[in-house]
This record gives sequence, C-alpha cells and structure tokens, in this order.
Amino acid sequence: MTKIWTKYLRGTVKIKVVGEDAERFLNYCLKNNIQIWEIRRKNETELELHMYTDDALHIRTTLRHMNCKFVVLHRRGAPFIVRKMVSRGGFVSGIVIFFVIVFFLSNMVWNIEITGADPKTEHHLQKVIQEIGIKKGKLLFRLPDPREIQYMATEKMDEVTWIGVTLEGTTFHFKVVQKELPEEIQSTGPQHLVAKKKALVTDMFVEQGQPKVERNQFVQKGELLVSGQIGKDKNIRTVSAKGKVFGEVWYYVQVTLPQKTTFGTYTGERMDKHYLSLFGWRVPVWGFGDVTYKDYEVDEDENTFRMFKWEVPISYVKREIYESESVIREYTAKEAVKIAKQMGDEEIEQQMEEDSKIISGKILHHRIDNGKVSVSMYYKVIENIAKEQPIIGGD
Amino acid sequence: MAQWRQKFKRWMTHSMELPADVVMDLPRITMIGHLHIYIENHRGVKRFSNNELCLFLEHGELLVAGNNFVLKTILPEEILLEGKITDVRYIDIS
Repeated sequence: MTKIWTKYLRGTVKIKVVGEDAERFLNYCLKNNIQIWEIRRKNETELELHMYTDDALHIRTTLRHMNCKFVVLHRRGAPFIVRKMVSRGGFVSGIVIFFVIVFFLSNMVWNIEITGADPKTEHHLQKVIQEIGIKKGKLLFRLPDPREIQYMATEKMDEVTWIGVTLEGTTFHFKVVQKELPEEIQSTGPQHLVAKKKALVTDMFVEQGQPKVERNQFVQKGELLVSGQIGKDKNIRTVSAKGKVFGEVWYYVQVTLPQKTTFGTYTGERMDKHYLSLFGWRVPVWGFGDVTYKDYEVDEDENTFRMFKWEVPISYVKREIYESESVIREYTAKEAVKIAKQMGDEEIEQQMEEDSKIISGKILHHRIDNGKVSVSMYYKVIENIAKEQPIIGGD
Repeated sequence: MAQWRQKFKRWMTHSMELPADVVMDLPRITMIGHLHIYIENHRGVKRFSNNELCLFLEHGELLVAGNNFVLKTILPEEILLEGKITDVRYIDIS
C-alpha cells in the first residue's frame, strides 16, 4: 500500500467513468489486477479515478460492454512529458545545448596567471607552459593534472627553484620562486693558497703570489702552496694569491656488485583503457577486453569534470597498462669485475671537479662471496688542490 | 458438511490460537479514528458513493457509512477508504 513513485515513470491518467453500473467496473479492475486509486463519486452516474496510462488503453472495450464511457481528465507522468518534449524539440534541444556549452566552457582554461617572476622568466615560463599544451581555450580534462604540470615546468626551467601550479576554477595560477643566484664573491682580500688534500704537485699556474712548492713535491693537507706575501724583508706586500695548483691525488674506491640481479622492464607493449567515472562507478568507454599480459603495471590518470566552479562527480579516467617482464641478469666473475670497474670510474668522475683528469685506475684486489663481487680500486687523479685561505690580520 | 467445517475452523481458532481472519476468511478491519478505514479480505465492491461503501465479504456484506468518501487504494484483497466515517455495519451474516 506504499506510495510508489514509479507511478510517475509509467504515466498516470485521471479519468471519469460515466455509466449506470460503475461498481461493476471497479470489481472488474480488482479481478484483472488493474491498479486504481483515489476513486471519488461525483454523482449518481459519474466516478472519478486514477489509473495507469497503459491500463487505461486496455479497458476501453470492456467499459463499452458495461455500457460505460470514460473521459480522460488529465495526464501525468514521464511519458507525457517526453511526448511534450518531443513536440517542443527546439526548446528542449536549446536547453540541452545550453548545458553542453556551459559544461564545455567550465572545463576550459580561461586564464593563466603568473606571479613572482621577472619579465624574462615569465616569458620563458609562458613558452614552457605553451609547450606543455596549456593555452586559453584548451579543455581541462585533456591536460595533465596540476601536479604533473608543476613537475614538467620545474624540470624545464633552470632559473627557478620552484613553481607552484594550482587550478582555481578555470584559471591556472603559476607561482614562481626564482633562484637567487649568489653574487660571485670577489675574494679581493689577502689570501694564501693552501693544499686541500694530500697530493703530489704536478703542475701549477700562479697568477699572483709567491709559489712555495715545486713540481713533484709531496704536500700534506693544509700546506702552504702559494703565499700571499710577496717581497723580501721590509718590502713585504700582502696580495690575494690566485692560481691553480694541480696535484696527483689518490682515491680508494670500493664497489660491491651482485652477480645475479633481477629487475623489471617494460616490453613496450601497452594498452589504454578509458573510463567515465560516475559517482565512483566506472563505465568503460574505450579499450574493452581483459588484459592479456602476464605481468603488467598500471598507470592511472583521473580528470574530474567541472560545472561552473564546482566539480561534478563525473570524471574521465585513463588507464595505461604496460606489459612488464622481469629479466635476470647474470655476470660471470670476469664480467662482474669489469662492470664493477666501470662503476668505480663513474663514481670517481662524479666526485671530480671540472678540470680534473683520471690518469690511472687499478684494481687492487677483488673478492667473490655469496654471489657478490667486491672490487677495491685505486685511482690516480690530477686535480686542482689549491684552496683559498684568507690572511687574517695581515701586517 | 459446510456447517461442520465452519465449526471445525472455529474450534481451531479457539484451541490453537490461530488468527481468526486467516483461518476463517474473515475481514480484518483497521480504523484510524473516523478518518481511515482499511479493510482486508473483501470480495469486491457492491456499491460506492460519496457517503456509502458496501463491500461483499465471504459471508455477508459490510456497509460503511459517512461522508466525503474517497477510495484511496483498491487492490484485489484490500481497500483503503478515506473520509468521515460514521458507521460500520455487517449485513446478512448467515
């Protein structure tokens, strides 16, 4: 006996039954499971009642047998609204088009704001942003999400420390923190050059100052290389010693490398699946079928649609599925040692300054245990060993 | 024979505490003040007008009188009547 709201979906009519014996009609309805409600007696011969539209169409002939007529008073429900909408197609399609337009406009980039950058950086950032694809009039759901944009932009811009990207409604805000490049400190003060580390001096270029060491001389850390005091006896002048002193330095590097490693790689096979997410419920749009790969990794990208400034619970989800496989790499002892040496070379190269040079690298010894190869290496490197040391209270 | 069955049914309701309306096909009438009357187990409408509803029952008839009657719902076994009810009466119970 509960009120069924689906009544509205099926469509109901209010009809007037005119006839001498309307009760017979009521009993007929009861017997044939025709639902009727809100029955009212208007007068001796008239009965007003509600029923479903489709039922009303079937009872016409039966009513005629009972010497009754019926008149439809009014119609309610979805079927009639649909019919009306069809007959006023222009109006309805206008409304639909309006919402579609508003929807698209809400999902467009309307403005790009950059704050905190000087004009040059701003120009560069604008270019970078355009490269990524953010332009006025672009659809938001086809762009990567702000975090990704932030990452990409920061990667591409060298002159900034940080770029904050936020999306507010239809405006992209870029907040730029520029790198404060430190001004080069002109060390004009009086200074000596001393050794940075233990080394064998191989070469030296002295711009200013009094060299205190010679080639092939062995120096200890902190030893004076180039003095800032020039002249003799009473004519001593203090200057800022400048120059480069190259020395042979020794490095000891130890590399441990497992002989057998397992790692995952992508095979290059991939498939994309596209979904439309409605209230968290995913409807596949494109890319059907099961994933046929044995091992795979999934990369998911979700873009939420907007209406005006609100996010609607509908979003576009793109899943990229990459086939992966695990590869076992195994080295023989000989290979492992070779690879370890390469790794050692790389490590040294990373540590070195610009004008340094490796002159020799030698394996001291290598040991294999538990499937691991450890290699100790010895490097001879020529590098600038000079370090400025201010002369304090120079007289 | 029929009478014997009636008696048996009555005895059953008495001794086994079964609801009488289920066992004996009697109407179950629920009234909410004088506003609503809800009748289950009827056998069709005999007469319906603004101030009177007469229903067939398994045995006899039920007459509901009052005014401003509206049959809110009518299903094969049940009826919900709305209006101002003044009288509920059984007729012709055999």
